[in-house]
Amino acid sequence: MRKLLLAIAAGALSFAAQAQMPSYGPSINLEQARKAIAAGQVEARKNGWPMAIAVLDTAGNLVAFEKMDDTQTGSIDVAVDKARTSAIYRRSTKVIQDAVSGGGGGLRFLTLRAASAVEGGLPIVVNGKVIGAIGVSGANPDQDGMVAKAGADALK
Amino acid sequence: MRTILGAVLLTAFAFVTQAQAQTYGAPITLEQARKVFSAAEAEMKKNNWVQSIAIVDSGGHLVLFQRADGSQFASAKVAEDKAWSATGFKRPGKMFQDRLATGGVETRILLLRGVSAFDGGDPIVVDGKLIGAIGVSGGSGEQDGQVSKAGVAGLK
Repeated sequence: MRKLLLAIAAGALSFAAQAQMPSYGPSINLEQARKAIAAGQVEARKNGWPMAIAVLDTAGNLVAFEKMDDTQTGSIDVAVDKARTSAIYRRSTKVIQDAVSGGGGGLRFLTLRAASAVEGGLPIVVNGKVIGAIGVSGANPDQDGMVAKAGADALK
Repeated sequence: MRTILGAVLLTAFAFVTQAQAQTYGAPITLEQARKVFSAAEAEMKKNNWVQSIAIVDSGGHLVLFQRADGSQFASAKVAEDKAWSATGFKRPGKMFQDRLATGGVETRILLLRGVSAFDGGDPIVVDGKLIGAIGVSGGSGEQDGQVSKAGVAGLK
C-alpha cells in the first residue's frame, strides 16, 4: 500500500514537473542576447575567468556569441553545445549532469542527440516562456553555471 | 618576345604577391573584434540590411558573432564559413568567387576543403599580420562584401 502510494506520488510529481516545463515563446532578439552576454561577462570578469558565451534562439540557432581573450579554444564549441542543449531540451544542463552522475537510469541521457551533460547551459525564460538559451564555457562547470545564470537573470 | 616579356612580368608579379602574403599574427582580441563588428554593423544599419556577422581569430575560431533580428538563420553558418575561409586561405572570398567564375581549371576551387567562394569574407590584417577575418551573410553577395569591407576598415 505504501509502495503504491509512493508510486502515485512519484507519478504525480513527474506530471507536475512536466506541467511546469515552460513552453516556447517568441525567439530572443539580438538586443536581449547582447544583454545576456554582457551580464555574463560582468560576472566572468569579476572572477577573472576567461569565457566563451553563446546565446541561441528557441530553435537552437546562434544569435550572439563572444569569446573573451585567452579563453581556451575548445570552449567555443562547448559553449554553443551547452546552449543548444538547453534550448532544444528546455532544461539546464546541470539537470542532465546530475542525472548522469547519479548513474543507473540517469545514464540514458548520454544517448540523447546533441545533449551536453556539463553545467553551464540554461534556458532563458521571460514571462514564463523559453525564448532561447545561454551556454558558457571556460572555467569549472559550476563557475560556468554561475556566469550562465548571471546572463539569463539579466533578462528577468 | 612580347609574350615572353609578359610571362616574365606575370611570374615576377606572382612572386611579389606571394612574398607579400601575410603571415599569421596573434589572434584578434575581443576589443578589436568589437571594433570590426561595430563598423560593419553601422554599414548594415545604414542600408537597412539584416545580416549575420561573424569574426574569427587567426586560427579560424569564432570570437564574436551577431545575427540581426529577422535575418535568415542559415546565414549564421554561412557567415562563419566565409570568415573561416578568409582566414584559412588568407584570401577574400571575392577572389575565389571571381576565379571560379572564369570556369575551366578554376572550377577546381570547388574541391578545396572549407573554401567559401562568396563575396563577404575578408581577412583582417594589422601591421602586416593576419589576425583574423570577418564573414558576413544575409544580403546579396555585393551587400555582404560591402559590410565586410566596412568592418575591416573599422580597425584601420
